[in-house]
Amino acid sequence: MTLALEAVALRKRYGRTWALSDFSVSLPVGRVAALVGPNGAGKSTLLQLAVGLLRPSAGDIRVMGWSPRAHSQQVLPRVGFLAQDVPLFRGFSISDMLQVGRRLNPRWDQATATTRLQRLGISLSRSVGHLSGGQRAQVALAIALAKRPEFLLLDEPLASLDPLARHEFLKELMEAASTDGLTVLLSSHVIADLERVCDHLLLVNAGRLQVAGEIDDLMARHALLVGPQVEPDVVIPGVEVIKSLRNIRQTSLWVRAQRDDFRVPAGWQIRDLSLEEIVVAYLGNPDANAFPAPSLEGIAG
Amino acid sequence: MTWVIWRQHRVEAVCAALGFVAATIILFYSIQLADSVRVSLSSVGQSDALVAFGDRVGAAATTTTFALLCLPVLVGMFIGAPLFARDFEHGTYRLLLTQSITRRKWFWMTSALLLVPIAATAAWLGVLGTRWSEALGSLSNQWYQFDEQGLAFASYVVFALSLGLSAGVLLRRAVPAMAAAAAAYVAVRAFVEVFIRPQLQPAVRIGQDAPIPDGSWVFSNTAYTDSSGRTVSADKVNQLLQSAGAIPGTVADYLHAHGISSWVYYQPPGRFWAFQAEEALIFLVLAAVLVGVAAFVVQSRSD
Repeated sequence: MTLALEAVALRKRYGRTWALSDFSVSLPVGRVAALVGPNGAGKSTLLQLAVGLLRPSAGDIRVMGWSPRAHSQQVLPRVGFLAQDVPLFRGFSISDMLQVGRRLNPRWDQATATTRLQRLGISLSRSVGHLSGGQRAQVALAIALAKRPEFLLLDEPLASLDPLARHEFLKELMEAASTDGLTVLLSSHVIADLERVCDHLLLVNAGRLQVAGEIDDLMARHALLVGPQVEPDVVIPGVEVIKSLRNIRQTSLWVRAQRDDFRVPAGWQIRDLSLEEIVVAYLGNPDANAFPAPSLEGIAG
Repeated sequence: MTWVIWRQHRVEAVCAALGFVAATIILFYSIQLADSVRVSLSSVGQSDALVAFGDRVGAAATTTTFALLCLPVLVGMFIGAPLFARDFEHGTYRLLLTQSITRRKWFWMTSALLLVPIAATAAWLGVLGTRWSEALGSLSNQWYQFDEQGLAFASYVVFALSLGLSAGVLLRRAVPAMAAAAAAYVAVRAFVEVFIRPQLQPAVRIGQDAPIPDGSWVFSNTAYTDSSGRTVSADKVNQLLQSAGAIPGTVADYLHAHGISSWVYYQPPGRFWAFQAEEALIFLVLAAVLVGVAAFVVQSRSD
C-alpha cells in the first residue's frame, strides 16, 4: 500500500505550546480526505509540515515516501499546496501568476489552467488585487493543479468563501481530483461541505489524531440510540458510548457499534448520525478514539 | 526563476537604476566643475570671479558627499531589507517555497541577482568618486573623500545590501528590517571610521612644527613628551600653561623651553590605497558573513 502521507509520533512546538503532540497518521494514495478539527487543533501545522514549510520538532513525516524538508526535490514537484489566506503576489496579473508557476515547475500544464480560468469567466489580464475571495481561491487552485501534482493539500480553502463560491470551488476541485486520480487532503472547520466531496476523514483535536477512517465506514459504525431514562452507566453489549445526554424524559446515546453486532434494546430507537454529529460527539469527548482496524486498512489499500 | 525574481522586484530594480543614474550625473557634474576650477587656477591665478566659482565647487562637493554618504543606507533599507522580508510578511513565501524549487536556490538566486549588478554599479560609482577626488586635487585632500571613492565606497554598498537582506530574513517584516538595517549600518560605519580606520597602520609621529607631507591625513590630537621621552598628559601641560599666565612668544616655544616637545600624528598620502583596500576588506568580510547567516537561516529555520 502506497501512502501519500505518513506521520509517526510527530511533534511540533511553537515556543512553549505543542501544536502537534505524538501525532501519527497514514493516508493511502487516491483518497480525498477531510482534515477537520476546531481552530488551533493543529490542522494547518500538519499541512505545512507535509509540504516542508515547517520542520518537525520530533518524530517523522513522509509524503509520497520522502521527507518533505530533507528531500524537497522529490516531494515538491509532486505536491500542490494551497496555503491559508491564499497568498498571491500583489500587483501581479493572473497571467503573471501563471507564468510564475510555469517558471518554477518542471511539469506545468498551462493550457488546462487557462481553460479552467476562462471557463470560470476570470480574465487572465486582471490583477490579483482586484479579485473576489472566490476568484482568488480559484486562481490559486488553478496554479496548484497546473503543477500536475499527485497529492494536493489545501489549508482552509473554504474559510473566506460565500456558499456559492464554496460550491463552485469544491466542484472544480472534485472534477480535477476525479480526472487525474489525485490524492487530496483538505482542511476545514466546516464539516457540512466536506461530507459531499470527501471519502476519508481525519479528525484532529488538541494536537492529536482522534478519528481516522473512510467516511462511509464511520457513518455505518456510528448511530444515535434514544430510549427511556436510564442510569448514566448503562451498558449495552457490543456498543461503545461516545457521548450521552439525559433529560427527564429520555436518554440519547451517541454510540459506536457494528449494526450486526448488537441488538437494539426494547424501548429504544436507533437512527443514523450525520458526519457532523459524529465529529461533534468526538470533539466533546477527547478520550474517545476511532481508528480503522489494521486488517481493514490492509484490505482497503 | 530569473524572470520570477525580476517580475517580483522590478520596481526596486528600476528605482535603484534611477538612483545610480542620478549619482552618476552628480559625480560627472562635480568632476567637470572641479576640473575647470583647477585648470583656471593654474593658468589665470586667483581672481574674485574664480573665488565665487570655487564656492560653487564647494557646494557641489557637499552635495556629492551627502549623496554618496546616503546611497548605501538607501540601498540597504529599500532594496535589501524588503527583499525577503516582504515574502515572509505577505505569506507569499508559502507560495514560492511550495513550487518545485529548493530554499537554497530561492535564496541564492534572489540574492545574487540583486547583489551582483548593484555591486558592479557601486564599483563604477567608486571609480567616478576617485576621478572626482583627483579632479579636486589641491582644492581638497583625498582623505576627505575617503568614503566616497574607490573600493571603500563599493564595499559600503555591498555591506548595506547584505545587512538589509539578512535583517529581512531574521526579522521577517519589512519595516523593522529597514530600521534595523539603517541603524546597524550607521553604527558599524561610524565605529570603523572612528576607531578602526585611524589604526589600520600605526600613524607616523612628527614634531609639531616639522613639515607634514601634502595630502596626509593629520590627526587632531597632540601628544607631549618630556626631555627623557616620557609621555606628559594634556592635563599637566594645561596646568603648566595656566600657571604661566601670559606667555611670551608661541605656546610651542614656551613648552620647548620647559623641556616639553609636542607631537602630531598623521597617515602619509602613500598609504591611501592600502587603507582603501583594508577597509573594503573589512566590509566585504562582514557582508559575506551576513549573507552566510541569512542563507543558513533560510535553509534551516524550522517555521
